[in-house]
Amino acid sequence: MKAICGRKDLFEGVQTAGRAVSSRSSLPILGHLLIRSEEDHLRIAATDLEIGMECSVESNVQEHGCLTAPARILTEVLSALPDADVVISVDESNVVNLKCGVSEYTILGLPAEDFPMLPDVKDDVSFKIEKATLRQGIHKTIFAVSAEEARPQLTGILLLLEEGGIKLVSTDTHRLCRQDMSITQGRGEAQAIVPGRAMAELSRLLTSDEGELSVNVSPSQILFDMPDVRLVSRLIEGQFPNYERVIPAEHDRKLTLPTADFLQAMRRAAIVARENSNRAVLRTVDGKLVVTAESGSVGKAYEEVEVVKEGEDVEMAFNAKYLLDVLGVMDAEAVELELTGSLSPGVVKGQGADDYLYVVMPMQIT
Amino acid sequence: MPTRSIIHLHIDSFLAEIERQRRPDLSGRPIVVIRSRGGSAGVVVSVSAEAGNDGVTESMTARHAQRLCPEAQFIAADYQLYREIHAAVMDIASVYTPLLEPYVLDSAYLDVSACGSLFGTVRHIAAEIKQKVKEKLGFEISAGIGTNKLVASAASYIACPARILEVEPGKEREFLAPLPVRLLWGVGEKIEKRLADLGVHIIGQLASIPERFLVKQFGPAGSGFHKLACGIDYSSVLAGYPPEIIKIEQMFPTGEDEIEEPAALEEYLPGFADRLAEKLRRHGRFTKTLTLKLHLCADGPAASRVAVIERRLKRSIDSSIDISSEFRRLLCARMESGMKVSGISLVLKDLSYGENSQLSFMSDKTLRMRQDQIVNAIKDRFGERAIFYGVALAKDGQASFLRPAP
Repeated sequence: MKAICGRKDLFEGVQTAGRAVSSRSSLPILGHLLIRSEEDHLRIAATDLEIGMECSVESNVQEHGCLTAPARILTEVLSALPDADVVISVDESNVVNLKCGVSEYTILGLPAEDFPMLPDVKDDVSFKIEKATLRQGIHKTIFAVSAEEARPQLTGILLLLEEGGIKLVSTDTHRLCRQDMSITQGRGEAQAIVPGRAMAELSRLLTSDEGELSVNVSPSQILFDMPDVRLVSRLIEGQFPNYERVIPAEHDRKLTLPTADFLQAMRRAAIVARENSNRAVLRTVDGKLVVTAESGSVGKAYEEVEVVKEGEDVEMAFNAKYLLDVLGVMDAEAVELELTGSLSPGVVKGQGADDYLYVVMPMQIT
Repeated sequence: MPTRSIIHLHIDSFLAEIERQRRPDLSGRPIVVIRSRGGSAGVVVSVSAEAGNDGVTESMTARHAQRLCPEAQFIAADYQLYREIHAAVMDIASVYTPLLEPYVLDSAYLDVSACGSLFGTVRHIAAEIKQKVKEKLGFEISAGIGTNKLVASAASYIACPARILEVEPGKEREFLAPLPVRLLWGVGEKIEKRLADLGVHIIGQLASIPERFLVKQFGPAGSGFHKLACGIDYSSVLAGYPPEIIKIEQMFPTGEDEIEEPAALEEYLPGFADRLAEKLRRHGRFTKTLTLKLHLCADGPAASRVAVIERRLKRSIDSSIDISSEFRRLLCARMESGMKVSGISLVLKDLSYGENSQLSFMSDKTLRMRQDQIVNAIKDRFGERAIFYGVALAKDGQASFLRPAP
């Protein structure tokens, strides 16, 4: 194979696909990128067997073929080369040659046929969605994904394909996010738990607000297909918890607060709260929501926010970070907190926005 | 080292006097408070002065006390009430210093070394506390004042009943010299007997023995005995109010038939754990370290008189069920065949305000907390005995009201 590419284009392609390279695998081939020529472009692929990424880079292909090269070395070399055309080629011994101006590098590759094929995910169950919509959905749910490997189902986002739309649901057992989104086209119904890492990588790829992407779901894999990039991920096996049971059916108190003021107050109180397990106490007093935090080693925080209260007065403790996480992604100008008892979950919603729901468990108040 | 000012407060015949307050008809009559174990079994936990005159002492079996003082009124201990009144006494004392260490139910140490400019002399502070306790709660207290905890404690022993005794700095050794050796910490029945065999009966005699001789006789503890006998005690008043540890101790009467096999102790654990957890929650605390002590009978095969096992948890807990199951695990790990247990202590340490009190959708913890919340509410409204674990019916004295009175 022999091809000529712009240094910048090739570097960006290598960087993009390189995010799927395994950093800890015992298989040397998984530390490599596969570069394959196709008509007027190169396809660069990488996988760690959990997720696989493939992107295409415009190129003047002179000899068709494919090669593998160690991702780390290739990325470093390309990042340091001058901005000029790069000629990339490979010989029969899998030695990759890079030429750029007067610079020339030979890098030891591995046989391309050893590189694992990215799976082919059929489009029996598939949908299309606006890139911006999906990016927003991931942004509003990914922070509640659990980091605990002991419950692998919770380390992913549940994707539910239903009639006319999809839902993304995530939970770490302390809080739960649910985002409803409309799709532009869809076929079939599906439930899939997509690893949080795959969703984070996908979110990075969805940089452009314009256009849509198609998603194919199989029983064990999911493919996110965009014009220049494809991301394939295995799905997490197992049963996602029955999240609907977690969502309180009713509430006896409701607080409505200006999102920005509440967010600012929580941000300040969190400075003290973080020294005490992030505990912030919310209390309604005379038409105000008083937010307090206390730490023996730091001191005390006191904040007031205007509130419209329905029902009895409230005194509950929450993890300040959990509230900050959700307030940070709220678009609505006012936020509603629906509460019941001091040990029962609270619901956070944007005022007038029914497509997003956040359920958060309180902290024990002492 | 600057001179310290320590007060040891002792509430005279605390439990018996509470019962007398509750039942004015007992005025002038001997009162014996027992920790009932159901039926006629029980251990004496407090004695009024009148019963004390007939030779009734604490830790005696109820049967023995009845023989000594048949006219005494025997009353089952109501620890919830005692704890509430003890907390009220501690509230009064805590105004004077944060260095307040409650020591069992009827006494406490106060370090008032730095409080002179605020509240006057140490004697004045002790007198004010004594007066306030008398006015607000109606109890007499004795107070010992010294430069360390040992001397203050010994002084309150001499001051009983209802006086204040101050030992001046520099006169600690002189003050302790004529007192019996059993007043020293660590000198129990066995050590007292060994000392008596050496001709040592009072603290002054012990102080005059060379330290190295005592070390030879008693090991490292001998050095401690010598220092204490000379009036030297550097132990600090551990600010313990709110408490730094929460403890329950149950000593069984020493009659042969009363001693428990370790396996049988398991039945006590839910009741004990429930009471410990309730104390914990009332202070808004969580625990991370649990210690189980089994007091062993002298004639058992174990080399030591106390078998101790401790466990530090990864996460803080406060629920009755969690505490009970952790203690069960400790008990199973420490049990040895042939052990005979004369008492059990359960201690909760590392008390915090709960670094891990975040609730979860999918954990039993939230359910248990709701359960505990409901149990607390029932106890608040209907009293401590209104609800408890069914298994406690078998062993724990708190459930004994369901049985016919002895």
